[in-house]
Amino acid sequence: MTYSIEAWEKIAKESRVSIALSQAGQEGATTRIALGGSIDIGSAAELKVALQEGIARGKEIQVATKEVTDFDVTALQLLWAARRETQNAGLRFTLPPTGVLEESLAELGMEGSSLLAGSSADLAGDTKWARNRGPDVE
Amino acid sequence: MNGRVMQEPGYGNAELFKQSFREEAKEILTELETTLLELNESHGDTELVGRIFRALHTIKGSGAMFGFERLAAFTHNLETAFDLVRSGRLEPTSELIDLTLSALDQIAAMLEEDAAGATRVDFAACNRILASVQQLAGIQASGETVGTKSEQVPVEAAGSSELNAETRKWRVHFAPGPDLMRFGANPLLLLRELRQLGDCAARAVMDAVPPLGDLDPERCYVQWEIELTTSAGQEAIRDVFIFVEDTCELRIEPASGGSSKAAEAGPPCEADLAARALEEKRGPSPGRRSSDKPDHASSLRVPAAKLDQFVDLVGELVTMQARLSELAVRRDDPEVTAVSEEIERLTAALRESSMNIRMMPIKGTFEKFRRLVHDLARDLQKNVELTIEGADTELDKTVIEQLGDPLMHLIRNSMDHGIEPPEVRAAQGKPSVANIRLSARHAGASVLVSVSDDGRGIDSAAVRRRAVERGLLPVDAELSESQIFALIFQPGFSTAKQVTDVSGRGVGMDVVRQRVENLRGTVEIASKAGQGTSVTLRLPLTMAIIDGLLVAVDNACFVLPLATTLECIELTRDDIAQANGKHIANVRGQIVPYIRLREHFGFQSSPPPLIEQIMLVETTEGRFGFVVDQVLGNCQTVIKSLGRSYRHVETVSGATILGNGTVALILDPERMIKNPVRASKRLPAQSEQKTPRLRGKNGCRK
Repeated sequence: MTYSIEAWEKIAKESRVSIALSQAGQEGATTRIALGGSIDIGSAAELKVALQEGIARGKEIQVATKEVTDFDVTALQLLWAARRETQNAGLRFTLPPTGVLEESLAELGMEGSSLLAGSSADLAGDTKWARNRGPDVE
Repeated sequence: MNGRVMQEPGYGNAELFKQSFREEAKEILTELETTLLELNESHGDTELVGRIFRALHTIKGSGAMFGFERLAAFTHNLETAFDLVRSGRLEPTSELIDLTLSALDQIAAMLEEDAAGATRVDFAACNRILASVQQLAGIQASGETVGTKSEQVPVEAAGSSELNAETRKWRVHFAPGPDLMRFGANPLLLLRELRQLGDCAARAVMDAVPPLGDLDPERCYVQWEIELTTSAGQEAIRDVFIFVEDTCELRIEPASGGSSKAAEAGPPCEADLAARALEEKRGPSPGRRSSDKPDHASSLRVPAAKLDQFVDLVGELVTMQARLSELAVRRDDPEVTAVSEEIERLTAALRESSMNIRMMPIKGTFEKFRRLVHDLARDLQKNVELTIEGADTELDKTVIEQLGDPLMHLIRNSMDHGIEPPEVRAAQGKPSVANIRLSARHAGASVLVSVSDDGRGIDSAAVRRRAVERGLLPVDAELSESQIFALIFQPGFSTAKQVTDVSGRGVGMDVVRQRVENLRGTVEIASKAGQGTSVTLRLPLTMAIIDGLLVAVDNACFVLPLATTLECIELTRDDIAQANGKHIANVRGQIVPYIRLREHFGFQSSPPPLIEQIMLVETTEGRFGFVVDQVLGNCQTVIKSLGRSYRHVETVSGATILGNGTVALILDPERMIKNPVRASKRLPAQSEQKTPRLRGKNGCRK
């Protein structure tokens, strides 16, 4: 089955939780993980697998959280651990800030955790990726 | 290219966590009720007020955490009111206490609301309570009503009444344990609640987060260092973590420097110093693990169903062990016998332990009646004090669970019919405050639970008159006072509207007797006109096992409860002849009636032995005998229910499986003699007594 980023976004909106993984860029060097809904302990195991797969496949990880309605600490510590892993491996990790993400980080006292370092808000929307880079998603 | 979508309904075990909260909250509600009633007696007790406030705060905060938004919103107003009481700005009047008690009933109903929306909550009552509390406390109504799920939990600071009090800076170290998240707790909500206490700066420490591959996704590795400037005390801060204390490291201590009046903060409290000393002694492990506290470590919450299953399995093991013992005897092999004896010893120890696990103090049941007495005293306009004695007495879980209704009936009867109105008591020179005493104590293999009052007592003449009017008693019947009192357990007395005319003690008394007999217990009444009445329930310690005497009749075996068995005497053919065919025996000059089990159960396959045995038992109707062929010996047996098909067989309280695999019925002597006694007194039978007909090998069938 083939999904477009738009299709993922639709799924993310319709689903309470969604974690979608795709490859993009030249030779699939970029792994995109689009999250939606409430990302918490209930989806932490899936998120971990997605992050591990992403790191194993590409040179760059992009995590989109535009459709996320809630984060809990298990989700944020996973993202933080993934970021540290990619840094150690010389990969690029991008986690564009969103309101929900920044708010969750602030509430949990994690704003100083450097999770968002190097990521800019202009990458926050998955649609932009789809539009600019035209991914093929399987 | 890969695409994968995962859907997850959120916390998989959410209902489990909610259930855990429900159980804890119910315990808090019970304590809260008791504390409120204590406060009603001593209005100025600040410690009680503090306890009530903290309990309400805990229910509110934890309720919100576990998704009980309606409960949290409703409790908030009560919490605010008691915050005002705490700060001396509101009087803890009886009105406020009554309102809070009513609110507790609604909170209990809110706890039981399920996901499908089924509810026993009386929303109209909730709104009335809310409005009254707001009016009493001068809280500005926010316009919210209870009944929709849209309430937001107010984010007002707990301990807000202390905002003008001295503020202090605290340092809080919070490190979730491995299972904190799995238990449904969420640090985010804890931090939010902490922020409600004052100025809060939280810093997440990520040092303990392992590499991604090693990371358990359902565990929180993040720790927090928090600086909190608040007027709330250490207890209020600790209360935020009350539901997670056992699954985290928590250290709360005054900051040594910083803003506010930290310099005046003073030394750490004694408890913290002690905790720190203990930590130092233990080694470098940081923080205080609440699970180290002996009071937490010494108890474990286990679902009742699991416990029942465990006891059932032990019962099966006991049965199999009995079979093994018999097999060992038959084989006459020393090695098998040695193993069998060892297993018998271990099984006995296991059975003893499992029965002890089922034992619970009766305190919880007793304490619930404080509220009943309080409410009835208010409604009946009587001054009544409830005294509780022996609350730590332990009883089998099943017995305790089924004791609530009988005790409630007895207390209601005492309140309604036994206790006189204040003016009557004053005219009789009695204290204006009446007393109802609820007590429990051990007596051998039984527990005696009594409800006593210092009311008007039972008018035995009036009871007798009423019994005759209702055709329950012939006019010329000769009855002792205790037998007359026993008449009030007749169903006719319980439903008659005029029961109160016979100085009371009728309503529900048949229910009391029924329930107590179902528990293999008995009821005794003692009363003196003008001085009071005492109803004593004699209950077995446990429902799961019974100490009995194994007897044989024809080819069948029966168990008679040892607790009521007095002695065994011989019955010869000459004795039977001397009695002229009547079923009576002369026991050291005392005439004792007996029932021949051969005749009772219709055994005819073999002739009776030349010398039979009379088992003498003590009953509420006096001494009776049960004639059997042979006494086989003592036995401690696991009671098995006979099942629905035999539910109308009242003379048998259960069955047990013997070592040879056959079934022995456990007889209920009290009920076996009921019909003969009624016949002799010409009393109408309470219900048709059905006697099981036994057949098959050994005369037994399951």
